[in-house]
Amino acid sequence: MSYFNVEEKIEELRGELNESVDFAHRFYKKDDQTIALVFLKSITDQALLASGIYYPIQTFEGKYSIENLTEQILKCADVKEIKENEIVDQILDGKIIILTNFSQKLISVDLLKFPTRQPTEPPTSPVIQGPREGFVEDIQTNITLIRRRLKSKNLVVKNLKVGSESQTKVVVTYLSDVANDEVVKKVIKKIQAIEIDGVVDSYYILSFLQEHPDSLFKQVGNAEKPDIVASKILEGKVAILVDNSPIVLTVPFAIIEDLQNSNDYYTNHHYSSIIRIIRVFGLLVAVLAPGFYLALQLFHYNIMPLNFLITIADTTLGLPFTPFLEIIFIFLLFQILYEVSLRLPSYLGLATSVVGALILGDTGVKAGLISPPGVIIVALAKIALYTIPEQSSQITVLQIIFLILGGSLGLMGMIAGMVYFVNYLNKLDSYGTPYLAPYSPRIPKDLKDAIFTSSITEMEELPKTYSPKKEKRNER
Amino acid sequence: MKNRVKKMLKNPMLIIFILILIFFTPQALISPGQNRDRGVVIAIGIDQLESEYEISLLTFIPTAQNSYKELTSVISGKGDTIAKALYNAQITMGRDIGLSHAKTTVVNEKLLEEDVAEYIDYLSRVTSLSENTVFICTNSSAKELLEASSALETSVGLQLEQIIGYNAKNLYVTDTSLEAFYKGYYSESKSSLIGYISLTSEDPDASTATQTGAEQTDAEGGGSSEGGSGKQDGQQSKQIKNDGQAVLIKNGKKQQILSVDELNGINLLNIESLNQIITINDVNYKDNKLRYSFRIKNKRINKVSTFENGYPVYGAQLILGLELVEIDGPHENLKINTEFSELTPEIVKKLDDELKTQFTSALKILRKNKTDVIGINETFFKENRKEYNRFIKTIGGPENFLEYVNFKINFILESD
Amino acid sequence: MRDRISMRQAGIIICLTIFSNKILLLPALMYNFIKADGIFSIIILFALEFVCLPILFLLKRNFPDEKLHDILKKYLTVVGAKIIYFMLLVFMIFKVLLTFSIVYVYFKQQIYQNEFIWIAFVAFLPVVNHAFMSGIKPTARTMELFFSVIMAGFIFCLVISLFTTISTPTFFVSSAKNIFSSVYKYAFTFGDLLFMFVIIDKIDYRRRQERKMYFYTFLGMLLVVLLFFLFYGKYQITSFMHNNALADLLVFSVQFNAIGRLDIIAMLTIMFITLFQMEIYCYGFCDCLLGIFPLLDKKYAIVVFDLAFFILYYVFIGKYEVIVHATVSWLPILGVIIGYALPILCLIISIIKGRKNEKSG
Repeated sequence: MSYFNVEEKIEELRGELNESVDFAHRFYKKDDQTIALVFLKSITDQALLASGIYYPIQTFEGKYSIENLTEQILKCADVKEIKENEIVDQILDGKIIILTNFSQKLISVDLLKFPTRQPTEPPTSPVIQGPREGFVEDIQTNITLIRRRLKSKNLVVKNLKVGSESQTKVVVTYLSDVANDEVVKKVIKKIQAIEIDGVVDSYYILSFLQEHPDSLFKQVGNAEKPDIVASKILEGKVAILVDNSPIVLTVPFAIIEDLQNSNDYYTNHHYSSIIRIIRVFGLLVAVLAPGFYLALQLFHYNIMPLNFLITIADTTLGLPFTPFLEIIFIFLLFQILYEVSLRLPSYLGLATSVVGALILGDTGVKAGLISPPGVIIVALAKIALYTIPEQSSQITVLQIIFLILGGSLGLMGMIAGMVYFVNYLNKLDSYGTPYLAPYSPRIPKDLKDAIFTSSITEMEELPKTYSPKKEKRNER
Repeated sequence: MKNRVKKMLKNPMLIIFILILIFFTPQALISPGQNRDRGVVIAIGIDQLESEYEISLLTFIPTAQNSYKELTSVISGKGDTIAKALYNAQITMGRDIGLSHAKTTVVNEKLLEEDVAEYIDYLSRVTSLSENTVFICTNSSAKELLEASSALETSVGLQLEQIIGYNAKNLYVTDTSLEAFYKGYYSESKSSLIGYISLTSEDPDASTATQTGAEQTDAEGGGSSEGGSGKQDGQQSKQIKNDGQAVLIKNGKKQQILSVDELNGINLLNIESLNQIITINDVNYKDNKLRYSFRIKNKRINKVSTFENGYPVYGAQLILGLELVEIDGPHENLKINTEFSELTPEIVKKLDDELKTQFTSALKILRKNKTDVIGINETFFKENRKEYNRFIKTIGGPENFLEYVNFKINFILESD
Repeated sequence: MRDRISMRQAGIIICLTIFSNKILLLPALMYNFIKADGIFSIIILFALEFVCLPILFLLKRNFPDEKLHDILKKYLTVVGAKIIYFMLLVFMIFKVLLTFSIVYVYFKQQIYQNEFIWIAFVAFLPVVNHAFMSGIKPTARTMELFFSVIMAGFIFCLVISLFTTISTPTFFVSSAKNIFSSVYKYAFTFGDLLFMFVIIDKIDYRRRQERKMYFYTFLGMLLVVLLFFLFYGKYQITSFMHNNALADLLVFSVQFNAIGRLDIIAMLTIMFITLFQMEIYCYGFCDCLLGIFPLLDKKYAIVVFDLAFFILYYVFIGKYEVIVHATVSWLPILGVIIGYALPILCLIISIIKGRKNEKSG
């Protein structure tokens, strides 16, 4: 029988891992028996290693065997036998590999530990009332957070790996009795087909999941809170968790999802309806206001109310810029300030906003560089953008497009642009779900949770938009 | 890069967008904005001079930032035709004229001596000028009226518009717009009613329209920011004086200027005409003769139009809710006047007489001028078409119809 | 992805086509001709049009998945089918031109003040073309989304007009002969249901949902009749002076324009309606063209449409008055032939087919 030459094997492994400084090993010798532990110091739990492995091995009296090691000695939960070609992967996964000179078999013990965040409330989706937990970078914690909310035997958690170098864990989870099989199959196929060297965030996966990757509009939902993901899974969507990313992706996606905020479900539904109407209004203002203002000034002064016309005429008198240039100038100013305040440390961010709002805005107006109505219109559009923060990047692009359309072609150009974009969105079916459902096409039953919401007691049926397997929520 | 361009070319909408960027955007970028290169006209005045027309335009001039105080000026041009005069005014102004915000059109009385529709043809053809522009007449010249209105403060042109708006709602009880004029002009009796605002050259203190310091700067004001009492050159200015008058027009020609009382008489049959004061004298109360004033608070009308013995009869039952508003004369217990609010037979009789007199005198005017502005022709046409048409033939046209109508008006008076 | 539309979407398409130019110029034109009795004229025309709907359903039931071209081919030979398709083609392109010209003139007068023909071309044509390229399904969905907006705008205009005095229009002024001659004269402005015959194979027909299509058709017709009624009631004798019925209802409603231009709502509504109508007729044109030349690529069909549109607009039409004149001079012949003959033909075909089915069944 040829057993391992433990020392040689360890050297071999060290070589394979490029002599990494965090590579560690430890020997136990008793009589002629040798036990070696191999692991990466940086990602293993040293305390558990001491109490669960070192100590029991040292204090064990009697002859070691693979059987008593796995069954008796090791005081750890995840102990399993592995094959020789898996050693490197297992070490990189934070496992402790146990090699012996008395058996061909190899044991791996899971003692993965690395610094993680606590599931705190994510800054992007705070709630007034409602759960405050958010996803973290650790996929295991994230699965736990979902599992805790859906204690169902039907919750499927499928493990996949993506990235030739990064070997990132990607987990696909859904309810087997609700989610549409076609969608699940398609998602898994798409993930398996990904050819990439490394995945450092879920956004990398998102691009591959989109059915129209070139499109301006995103076709995959994302959430940072387990309660949102759980409710989406309940609706029959498939959630995709990516290791090292606190953002969980969900498909299929309809644009109405971004209009729905988790706050809406934790308050009175009448109130939520009003808020959602305001959000839609905010969206329209954000996209159309600058273009409309420009169209009025350049083409349709005659449809402005006289008093408004007088105000504009008075305030734009003597400006060095033409109306179009003025709006572009203010627009750029806002965008630059936004970028700056985002990147700067928070204490400096405050300073920039003061500089931006007071000095640039107010002084700009006083110096006769820009006009107050122009500032108001652009500021309004820029603020309204954040009524739907998830779509802010897309809306910014639309703002610019409609600004150009309104300035170059007037109202007619803007209306044509609107019709074009809605037509375009109507073509963007993602995983068989119409992008603008439940409004176009109209799905009457799903209107209960659209712009106007009903009470949760009335939402007995699952939204048809996502073509779930069953109709009623509590159907078994 | 090549691939990127290829990819872009595959999307036709992107190409269109690029074309827009190339062909339309540069022009838009350098365009100064319409409000800067157009003179926004708030009111138009048309005067007929001896041999030509004068068009006066009340335009607003933007003033420096943040002041929110507007200055207006009247710019005028003369010409053989209205179009020519307007063209000349445009040249004077040095800008394109924007008529879309014009809310008032004023003509002078002289223009109404001939068929005014012929003169204002231009206005009805200009598409940017809305037909619901107020259409009024003035005793002096339209230019002077606009100048006087320019001097009135508050918001641009609003004062004049407010006055006319008040008149139209409460006195004329009909719009006094180009549209209303045309509606009457094309109707069977070819008659319409338009507002009349007079100008007086009285002492400013006595005038109804006061004005508070129209700021006049040297820089602004253009040709003629005169008007109002604040004039430096000491010339006596004219003031707008609203007497609530209206002009009765037939075939586009002026027939008669109606006073408020006459208008009230004409509108007696109009359900929307309320709040008029009716005064009766010599009401007996405890040996005193008192003068009572009532206000019409509400009105209900039941109308019947028939032909009796081949002649049209217009029967109407007018139920008036009256509120006692003033008692003139010596009487006690001023505060508690419940006893006065009762309509005694004597009061009813006097009120009835007063109302009838009012109506008959109004009717007399309408008959004299053959102007049916109260829609009697229309009522008969709608309700007794056959007889009406037959009758019209016998009397030689719908214009004479009013003369033959027998009015049977019955007043029912209630205290409100 | 099957390029099909639901019955509701089909109903919405009909409703929008029914508005077409009837909401702007037609009321004034009709008043000029037969006074307020124009309302009877349109009721007759609508009644005739409404009858086409059951014929459509009958045809659909007998030929569930067949294209109109194939159905016609079977009974009228290839040449017959192509002739009918050619007439449809001409009908569609003139409908587009008529709609475009009227709306163009309206916007030129009301909001652009100057010539802006290139802006109009650049704004409308690409969107209209894109709608055809993306298929009937997204287009119908887009209309479905904007339908509520359009309805809100339209009804707003009607309701606002109620705030001023409206008296009952004076009816029965014209002779019956005049009314019927106006029915002929304005035949071209109707016949909007023809589009449904052209895309008959793309309707996801369900017998139970027939009432949806009836409802939307009726709604469209009712609103137009209401518009006529309110318009005549409001303007009476000066109706002929107001070329933009829907917008003019608003213009005169607010006394002295106190809140600025309220008619912008009518303008936006009209812009949406026009765009959708052009999309529909462009789709109809290209579909007919593909019916005549089945080997033609979609892209080239669009190119042909654009060229035809340009050439007709510039060379033959050019002027607004010319096209308006054409609609009452020679286009009614086309309107009558294609608008009434085709449904009758379809009725006969479905009856023959129905009999055959009975025999074989």
